[in-house]
Amino acid sequence: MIGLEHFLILSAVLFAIGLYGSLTRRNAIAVLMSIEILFNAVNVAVVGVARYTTPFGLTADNVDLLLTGQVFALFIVTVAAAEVALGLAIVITMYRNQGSVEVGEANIMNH
Amino acid sequence: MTGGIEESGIFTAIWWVIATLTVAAALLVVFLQDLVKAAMGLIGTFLGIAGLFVMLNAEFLAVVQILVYAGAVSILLIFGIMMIRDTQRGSQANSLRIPAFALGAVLVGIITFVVLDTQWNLLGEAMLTAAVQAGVEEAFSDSPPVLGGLLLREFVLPLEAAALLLTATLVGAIALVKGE
Repeated sequence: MIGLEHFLILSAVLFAIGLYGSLTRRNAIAVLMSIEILFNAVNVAVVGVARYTTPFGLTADNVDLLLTGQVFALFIVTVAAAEVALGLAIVITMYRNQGSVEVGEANIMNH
Repeated sequence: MTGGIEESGIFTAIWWVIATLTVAAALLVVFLQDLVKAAMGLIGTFLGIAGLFVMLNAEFLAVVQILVYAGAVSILLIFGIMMIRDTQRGSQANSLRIPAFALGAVLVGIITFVVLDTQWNLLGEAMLTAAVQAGVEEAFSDSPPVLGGLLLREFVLPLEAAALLLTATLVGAIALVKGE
């Protein structure tokens, strides 16, 4: 039987994959894609906790609060969409300025 | 809240299939050299996670996931990949490979230990009165009105902040790319 633990551990595995990708990839767009996996892993955990656990003091009047986790996930989706749009704009500017999107070569601010 | 379809073996089988496909697609994103193929893996990951949301009784979020991620975000990324010639020759991994793998493995180990060790306050085991039980069933089976109510009451300030964030992002992205 599938329970909360399954979803949380799956979320941890996805998070670790995204973390590995965002640390090891050299291409800035590949790093952005790995960061999207990180956001999605967190969403799975948040929605899973909202589905399987019960808050203290749950009554018939405040049963709506059970879906707080889903509201959090909606906000994470919004922030992730903003992040990818701005990230791509930065990557395109970087490509224009130095002709490369390698993360290791982005050292223009070092001088 | 338990009982019914979630106890059945078919639910477990479908969960394992979706989980395996999602993790496999995520591995493609991280390891494939060709970024267009990696983006296809990313779409697979997004669709798998939408499937997980359906299994978590969050159908509205599943639809949002498909619209925003599998639709908009992945198309944006593919446009980015195709606009930048640099990505055609692939993306090599850098020298951090072994430390990053160790970090990920340690993270999974710690989270697994904590998750299994925690005494979760589970909904299925809680002593709920019949009225609360009915409310819980209702909230999960018909979630969009509940989500709308929460967004416009408890979370109205974050909602406005998110609107402001999106506007600022739009203006910022245009200002960055437009140049002089």
